[in-house]
Amino acid sequence: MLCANLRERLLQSSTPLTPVLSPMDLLHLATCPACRQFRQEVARIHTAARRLPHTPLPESLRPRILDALPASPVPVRPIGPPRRRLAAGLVAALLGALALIAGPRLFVRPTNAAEVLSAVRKTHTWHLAGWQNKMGKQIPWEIWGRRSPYFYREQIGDEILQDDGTHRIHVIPPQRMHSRGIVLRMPSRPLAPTTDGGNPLDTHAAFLDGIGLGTETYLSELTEVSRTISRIILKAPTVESGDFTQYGLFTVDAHTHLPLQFELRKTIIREFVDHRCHPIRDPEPHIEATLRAEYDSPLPPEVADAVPQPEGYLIADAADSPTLPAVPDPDAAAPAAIATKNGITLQAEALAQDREGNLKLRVRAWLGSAPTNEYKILLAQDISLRCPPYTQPGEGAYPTDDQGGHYVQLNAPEADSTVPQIGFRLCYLTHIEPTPAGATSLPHTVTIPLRARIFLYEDILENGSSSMHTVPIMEENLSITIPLPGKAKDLDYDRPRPHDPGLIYNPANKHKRLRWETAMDRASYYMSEAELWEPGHVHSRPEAFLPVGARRRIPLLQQAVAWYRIWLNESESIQDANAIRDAKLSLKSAQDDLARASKP
Amino acid sequence: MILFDIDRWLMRRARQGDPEAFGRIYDRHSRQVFHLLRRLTGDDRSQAEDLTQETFVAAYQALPDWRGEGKLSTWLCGIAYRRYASSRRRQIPQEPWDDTLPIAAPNADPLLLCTGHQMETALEEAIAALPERAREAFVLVRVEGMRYRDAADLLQIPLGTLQSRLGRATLLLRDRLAAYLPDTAGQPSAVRPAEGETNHAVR
Repeated sequence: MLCANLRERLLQSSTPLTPVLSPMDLLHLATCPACRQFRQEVARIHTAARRLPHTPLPESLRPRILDALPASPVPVRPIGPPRRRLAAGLVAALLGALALIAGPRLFVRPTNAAEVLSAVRKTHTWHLAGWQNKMGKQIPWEIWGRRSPYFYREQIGDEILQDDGTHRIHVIPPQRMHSRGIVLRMPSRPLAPTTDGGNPLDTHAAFLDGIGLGTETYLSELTEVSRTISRIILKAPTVESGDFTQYGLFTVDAHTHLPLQFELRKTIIREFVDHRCHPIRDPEPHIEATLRAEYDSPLPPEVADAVPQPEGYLIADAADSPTLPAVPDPDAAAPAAIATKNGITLQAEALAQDREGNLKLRVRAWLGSAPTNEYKILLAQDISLRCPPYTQPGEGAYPTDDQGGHYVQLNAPEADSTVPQIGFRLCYLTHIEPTPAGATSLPHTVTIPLRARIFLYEDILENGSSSMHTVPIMEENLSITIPLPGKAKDLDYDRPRPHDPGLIYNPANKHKRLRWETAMDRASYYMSEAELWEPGHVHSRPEAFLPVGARRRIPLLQQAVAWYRIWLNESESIQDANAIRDAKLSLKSAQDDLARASKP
Repeated sequence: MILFDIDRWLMRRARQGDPEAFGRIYDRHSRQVFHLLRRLTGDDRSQAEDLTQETFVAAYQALPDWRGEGKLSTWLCGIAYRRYASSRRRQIPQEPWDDTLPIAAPNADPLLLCTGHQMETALEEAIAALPERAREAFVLVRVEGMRYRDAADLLQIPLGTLQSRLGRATLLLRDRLAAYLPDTAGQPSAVRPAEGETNHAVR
């Protein structure tokens, strides 16, 4: 039986090349040549299947398909990035969500939407009470809110989020990996109006994601599942997230049109086996969280007047001024620059400036007086340019130096540059027009528009495994002017130092080269700028339809073609098949655009 | 920081009505879609070409539905599978699931084995000869690398059924490819130890 059971698990493993095996299985494998042989054969088949080549398609297929496309343009809808899944603890605003729920698109009968929205707007206070599942336990969950004067308080177990319209206080009790709790004092952030694809810190988004309902797009698909004389039940579509699926149910009072209850139902999915090597099947959905709502009850004094002040906790107060390091960073090649806004302070310094004018910068952040790396893994920062390439060309200024030169951001030689980092942030900028060889003067300052986000890391045990969730707690846009060293030095880009603070080093990225990255980003910059002068493009300027449009566009496209050629050469030199394919396609597209723009 | 994601960039342009952007999406993903369909149809290139055309036309019409979540290739493969499933329903009655369905006997000469190309060819033939439902599961998960849950949803079957079909497919392929799978000592499988001859002292 042991052979048969082991083979069944090997065949059904979701990771057939590295199946998870119990010690008993491993012991059996060590003593059973037939099962070892079987395992090897299965692995060979699966490896060969993944490596099956793709032979060329018939040449005639491409025109046949593209000619068959409908002629009319496709309606535009914004593409939003996958919304960050927030921790269930940060629930900030029920009313915003209820207003969303009441949106006219959500109901089978549109008249209900206006009635629910109107009913919600007439409420003055609200009180939600229920529980949510944490680590297999039902943790009490309670929310009090008042419209005016603004007040919001939410408590999940010992975690408290309270906002009195002046300050927001977030009390995070000790967690499994943090022996000491923390109190965050920040400026108030009242309920925000809902906007599609907007700021991820919008409280409604925190609410929606916090209760596992995902994005507004998802909410817009709520459907009425049943109706009685007194109640209407709305169901949200099922959402999948790795090891589980879940959906929300809302109950609305048919007479008052006020939402009365929310329920989150969850089904755990595991593709593993239990300790006795039996496959774990999908159980029935269980209730993961629930809240019941009451409206217009007076706020109890012990709720409205209490200020959470737990003893022994670390305190990070955004109102405090930072204590900047007395000793400068030994890597810094020029003095640091400082910018502060609403409790977030950024310190930026230039580490290197190469002969082409490319820059390597390091940025540090403070929340109040506390550097974000002081709390180790509890707080993290994510600092990025506000106008990166490929997003919204022309939306904002590019980083600009004192000689008028513009820069775009380079992907850093990191494992994943979207991961919020702790303490430091390395940032690479490339000069759009490389400084000519032999130039005597390099720029002396660069001004950069930045977006700084501070995250809270939550250490959560769910579905039997530990995971870290990031919860955004503050976000500010700042502009900072950084002194530059004025003399050339290598950026250490092609051979990054593995322990460079701020760098998430990944040896798999060793093929990354500065010339490859700069060529790609410069080409993309010129393509984005050319789009501004492309008649009929969504971002084009009104003058794009005039002759001046073509005159402006042609040199930009010529630059794009030139840089795509360099990108292709660099891709060929590192023998990266995917990069070569992308570079060829991009080059051809730019050449086609140039040919069309050049026609009289 | 923004990672360069050419698919998102192309999709944005395509949704703005740029047909060239969609052409580039075709260039990037058509081979994967075509080969998925070729394998699903049992190496029927003509049908795979037609379904590839249907897939990209359907994808173009469904551009507004793409939410930017997940890989574009997964989304396209999902459309491709649904077109395939739809065409299969139009053409033939549902094939009953038959565990005893035989597959073609190995036809390779052992003396010609053990090169990568021959293994690929034999594997392609063996996949094409699999029972249809086992083939679907194997192609989606093992060849195209789709997640279990995604594949189960696409096939509209429970996870357990998907696992069972995958196991069945792998066993059938193992039988058919036995001559290509030397044992740990490099010997042809014909001389590998029978299961009854193993040491089962730990049982």
